[in-house]
Amino acid sequence: MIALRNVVKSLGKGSQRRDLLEEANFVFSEERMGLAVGTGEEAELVLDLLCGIQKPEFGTIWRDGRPSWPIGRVGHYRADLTGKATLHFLASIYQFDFRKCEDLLFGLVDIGKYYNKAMIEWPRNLILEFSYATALMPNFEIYMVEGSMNTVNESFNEDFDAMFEHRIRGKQLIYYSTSERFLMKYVHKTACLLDGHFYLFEEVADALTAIALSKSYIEQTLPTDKPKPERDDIIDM
Amino acid sequence: MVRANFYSYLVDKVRALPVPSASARGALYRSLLKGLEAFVERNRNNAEIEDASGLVSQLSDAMELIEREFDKAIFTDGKRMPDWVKTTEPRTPEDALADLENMPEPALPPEADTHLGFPALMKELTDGDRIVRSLPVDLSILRDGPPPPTPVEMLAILSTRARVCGAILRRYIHTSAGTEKLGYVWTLLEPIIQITIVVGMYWILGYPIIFGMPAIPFTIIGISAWLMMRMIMFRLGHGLGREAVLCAIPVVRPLDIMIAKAIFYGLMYTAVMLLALQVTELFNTNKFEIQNLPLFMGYWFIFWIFSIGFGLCYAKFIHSYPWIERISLFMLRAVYFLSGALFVSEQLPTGIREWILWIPTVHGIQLMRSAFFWEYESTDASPTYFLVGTMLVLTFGIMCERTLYRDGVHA
Repeated sequence: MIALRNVVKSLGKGSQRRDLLEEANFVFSEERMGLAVGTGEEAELVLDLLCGIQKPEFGTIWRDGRPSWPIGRVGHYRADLTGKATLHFLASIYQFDFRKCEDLLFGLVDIGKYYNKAMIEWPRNLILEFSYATALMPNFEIYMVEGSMNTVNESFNEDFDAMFEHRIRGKQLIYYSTSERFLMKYVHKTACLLDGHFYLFEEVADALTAIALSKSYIEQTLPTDKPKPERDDIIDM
Repeated sequence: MVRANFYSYLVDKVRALPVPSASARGALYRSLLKGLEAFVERNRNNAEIEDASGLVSQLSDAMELIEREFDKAIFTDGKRMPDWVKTTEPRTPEDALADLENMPEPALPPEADTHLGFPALMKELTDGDRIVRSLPVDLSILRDGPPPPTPVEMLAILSTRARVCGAILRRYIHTSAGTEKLGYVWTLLEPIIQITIVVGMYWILGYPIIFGMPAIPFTIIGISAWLMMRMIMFRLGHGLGREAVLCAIPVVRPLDIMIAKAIFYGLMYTAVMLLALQVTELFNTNKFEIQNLPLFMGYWFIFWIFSIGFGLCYAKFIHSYPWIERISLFMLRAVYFLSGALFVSEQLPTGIREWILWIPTVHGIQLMRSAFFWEYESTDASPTYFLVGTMLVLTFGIMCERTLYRDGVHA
């Protein structure tokens, strides 16, 4: 469960800054919930807030379990470190058995000679497979997913899907994707961020429709200049 | 007396702010007051508006009224700002006073089907013929807020933080050394060279004794402490660098990375200082005996804490005022000569000594030397001043770090 109480968070800098969450109150209580957010940038910030990478400017967010990192992101893998060093680091901070996880990794990913090489030399798809495989290792209570959870390697996808399905049994899953197909694969009810607040929709399609309608609404109404203040009664300084 | 409707003017100004945060409002108020004071000053001799000085107090009253409204919104209504900020309706001081007087009734006892203070928002959108409607959400859990952590949970949090710092430290040691085994030697060689250069200058100049203490160990202690502080300050001040990517893992906090870096440089300079002292003991004709090694290491540890606090403050300063970064290298060279690394205050004339003793590092380094050498007992350095100074700098540093964390500044 993730609860948000009076949460305020803004996005952008300087004059481009705008409120993404405006005193938002919401409870992510369903076991499997989708997340529908207008743009990728907004979704990234919302996921950062939900898993605790960023703090809200105002209000409180609390979780009743350990959240995962947004699965599907590869930004935290440092290019000059080897796969072994990265796995060792994750094993240290999440206290999982390094040897067992190494076996799991070798079983799932055809990593071969790359394991002891710096990740900068790895093919892009291998980094993605490695990132998905490492997400199976720590015992999270809340899993956050960003993107499609799919690679070009079909056999990896099948194995990973089966293991991930087993891993999230009895745990909470919050899944952000813009694709209805991927969302429907894992979730039914979907939280939708509209005008700074979260709303819960029964169906994935309804949430995505709401987002689309909201976008078109914004496109129709922008740009909106704020009315200039009346200055007749103000002394000229 | 001239009267102006400052309240409505301020309301419009606050509405026009991109984000009406406390700091933005403060900046707005300051600029308005400055402008008004300049206006009053310009028209001091103008007979028509000779009583314009009252305007400043009117503007202050309007500001106070708006701040009272913000306080009410935050502390009574649990909101970030009053509702009028997001509307365009005209507003008068009378409206504000009426709102402040009509404080809401205390909350009723919770009922099963209400969300006390948290309206269950519903949305209904029309997509052609289809109506898309959101579901109600049970927000009753928000009423009580998060449960306070139990002592066991607090211990678990501390243990997690220690584990994460340890893991980052191990990783940082490997990445600092690079891919080659020789990298570890280079990591230590750099501070050794830095210390050798300064100590070598004393040796060349031929100063065997400084204020009764052997010159070379005297210098090693001062220079090592100073270099440790400088290095920690720069490493913490210039953000997380390449380690910033780790912040994408929820269990890793920016402060963990900073502490790990500070431990790394603390250990490195401690090792180099002890090594340099050992080498001096072996090859120098001026033999020395350590008076109280545990006390010396205790002061060294407090000095390390002081360096962390200073580094955290420095990070905030150069983020808020980037020009500080440009002058900091030059400033540090000046501060280096005043830091106590190269002298003890007892060597200085009384007039200068009074000023120098305001600097906490002078106390720290003198206390270290006092604990280290039999030949020297500091009469100026105060352990209380050094400890209190360290605690104040650390507290302020942590506050600075929190503000950067809240703003999402990692790199």
